[in-house]
Amino acid sequence: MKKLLVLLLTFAMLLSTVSVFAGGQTETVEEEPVSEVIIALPGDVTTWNPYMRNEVISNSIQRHVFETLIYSASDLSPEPGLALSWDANDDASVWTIKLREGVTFHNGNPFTAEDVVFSFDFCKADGRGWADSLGNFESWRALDDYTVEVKTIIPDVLLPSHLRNIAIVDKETLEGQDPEFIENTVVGTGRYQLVEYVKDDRVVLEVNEDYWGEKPEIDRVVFRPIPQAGTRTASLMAGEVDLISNVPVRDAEMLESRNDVKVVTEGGISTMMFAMGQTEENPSPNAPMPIQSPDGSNPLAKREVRQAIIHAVNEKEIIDKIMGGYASPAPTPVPEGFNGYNPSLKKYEYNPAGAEQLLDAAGYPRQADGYRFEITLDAPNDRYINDAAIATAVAGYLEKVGIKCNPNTMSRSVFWGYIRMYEGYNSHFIMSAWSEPSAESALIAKDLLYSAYLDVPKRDGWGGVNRGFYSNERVDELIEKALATVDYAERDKIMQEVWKIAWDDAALFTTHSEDAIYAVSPRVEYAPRIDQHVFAWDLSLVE
Amino acid sequence: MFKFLVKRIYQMIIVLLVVSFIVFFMTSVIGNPVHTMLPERASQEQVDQVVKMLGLDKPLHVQYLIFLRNALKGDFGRSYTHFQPALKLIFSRFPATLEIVVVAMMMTIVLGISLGVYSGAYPKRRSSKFIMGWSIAGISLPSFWVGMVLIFFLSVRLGWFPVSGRGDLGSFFGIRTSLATLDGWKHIILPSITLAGINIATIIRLVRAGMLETMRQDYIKFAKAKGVNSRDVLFKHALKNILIPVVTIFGLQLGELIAFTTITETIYAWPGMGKLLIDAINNLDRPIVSAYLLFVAVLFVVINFIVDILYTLIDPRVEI
Repeated sequence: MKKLLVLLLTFAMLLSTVSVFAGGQTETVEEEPVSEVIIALPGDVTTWNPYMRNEVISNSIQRHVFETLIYSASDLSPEPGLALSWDANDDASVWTIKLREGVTFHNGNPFTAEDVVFSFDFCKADGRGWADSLGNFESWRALDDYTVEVKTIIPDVLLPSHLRNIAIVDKETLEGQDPEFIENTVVGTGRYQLVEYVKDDRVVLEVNEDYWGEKPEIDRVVFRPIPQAGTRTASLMAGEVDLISNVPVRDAEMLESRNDVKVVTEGGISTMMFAMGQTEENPSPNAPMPIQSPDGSNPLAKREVRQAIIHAVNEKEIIDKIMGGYASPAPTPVPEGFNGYNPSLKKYEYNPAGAEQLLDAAGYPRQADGYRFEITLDAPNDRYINDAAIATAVAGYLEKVGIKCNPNTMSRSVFWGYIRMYEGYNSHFIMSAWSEPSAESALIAKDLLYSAYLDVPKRDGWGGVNRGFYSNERVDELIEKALATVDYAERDKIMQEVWKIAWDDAALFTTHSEDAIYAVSPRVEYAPRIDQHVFAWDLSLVE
Repeated sequence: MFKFLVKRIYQMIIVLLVVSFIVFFMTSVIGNPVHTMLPERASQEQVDQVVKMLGLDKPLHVQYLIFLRNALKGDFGRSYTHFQPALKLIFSRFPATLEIVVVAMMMTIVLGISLGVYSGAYPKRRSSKFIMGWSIAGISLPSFWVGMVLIFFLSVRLGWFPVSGRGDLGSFFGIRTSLATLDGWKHIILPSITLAGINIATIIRLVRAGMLETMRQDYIKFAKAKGVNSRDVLFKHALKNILIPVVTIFGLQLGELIAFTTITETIYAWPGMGKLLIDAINNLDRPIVSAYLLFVAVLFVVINFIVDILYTLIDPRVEI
């Protein structure tokens, strides 16, 4: 008995010494709200510093509290946010932004041009997630309390699309403070204010009574991060949450058959794209499984070979069988409705026989072992919906036409470093997804199509994601021209031509765009956004 | 006793040094964290700026020495994803993990020992065979699956328990814990059962095996012949003699539970350390991974120390 007592005592001692480290957790002190909605996303907001991370869940939650100068409307067109108007001079090198008056931060401080200047300074100094948005900003200053002037390094007609990304914070509150304070002090101008935050447990927001615009319908929003998809679905079925996102296809099919909850799907703007290293010189000398061809050349450098590859992939089957129908075809990286979308471009039709003919004509006949040449497809296996399955399927399609293709899938934590241009030179055939929230395909082309040479970029910051090292002088000229064209329709025409040339050149190919699947309880209705940001003001209560 | 303590502390320092060395160099080869922090189109200038800010441009051995020097002060750097001091983050999540571990271990002690003693003392009974059958299930069924099944039947179908999350916090002797509220207990039962399953099964089998061997010993026959009642025979005489391996395994289980509750915490969205760790690994968040592993190393050393002390209490013949 005595021994048992000693045992218990030791245990209690352990417990109490350890509880000394019990961290601070905020208390809840609010009155009864009128309407409350609970949203379960797969992750938590990782930081309340709005410049540190560019990631859709953190963005979604932060945008309830912080606002930007310009908003994205639901169709991604620009809308006045904290800025009322924005005009450029003749060559779009100087922009004058007029700010909204009468706006206050959650702590009562007035919003003025000083806060905008401070926010830009802050983001430039240490804004890891968003500093590239300021990449072309040469300088900025407040002309008066409600006007800000921005000078660009090179003329930039698409400056407003960058202004959608930079949250505005209160200079008086954050100036000169240490990172600890900044992390724990959340003051914005947004529709909601932060009431309680317990990391990985809940984010509690309440409506901002003094909001400058239309107040949202729902008074209180609670975000609960639930990382496991099955648990999320179970929470909805048990009536514990009102909205869940990232519903897996199997769960969606099961939920569809129920009467109480509703499944809501929405097309997205991200497309699954495949880059092919097309330089004459070996693009991946360090690849663990390198390109192997009978004559030692790079087959991907030949346009016919790339075209053959595209003809060999059956994207319809990928959409039906792998994505379960929850995806839409995407012939180019430009979604419909974007500036520069060219409706005449359809994906090369699935035609394995035609592909074989092209490969023969290109000078890569089947060898004694049945294969023409060998390549390796690098893809992540934990980043996109069914990514590993898609990569394996594409490798399979290529095998059918005589191309030995090794699917090399890896975790996203190593994938991004592995394929990074100008770093490892490990890859020549890469699968990843791309999206551009500004609805301007000129920005997509600037990243994906602008020339990149094998040893150096043609232009720093341009062609940064042109992993296939595609290079076409005419395309470069047109992209530069588009980014200097203020008129929307004019720019649209130029970009349509750009994508036609890239399509003819088989610069890269895309297969599909994944749908976002959500589900809601009978209490609410939800209108999802195509950029997959989840906002409480897109929810409405069912009467 | 004092000599023992000093020897143990000395060993702990060596263990920590070795662990810190391994942790540091391993985390430096699994990938460049700067790539996950910055968007892909970030210019080389921005990449260099961040690399410099994080001190990643210095040669590796210099980085290690800086890391050691700061670690001695308790400063493991700021998390790359949460931008808070790494050790502080881990400690702030520790109580939540400790809660489910404590409840799971209590279940393990009570159920594991009682059922183990029973099935060891009366191995031929049908109920004993039933217990053994369930213990095999407990060891073989993955906790992931058990968790989902429990949620499905007990939360969704029957609505007895909430699906996930941690309950409301209350105060207990000045400590804020969810074990002080009824809501907290409702939330903690399922995760604890999921965690405890395999541990209970292991302890049952261990205790049973020990009991089977001990019950055949002469001194047990003698005690029964002497007229000692059956409960005392089991618990006062037999059990104590088999406790040494049980306490050893128990200590290991405790350490393992505290350190690696990752799966259970992910399923139940429990805001503990395990979830913090898996996210940090995926995000190449070196400060958290290194701080966490060193913390776990200290934990195991302390637990093993306590286990050794307990040996002397259980078996007076053991000298330390």
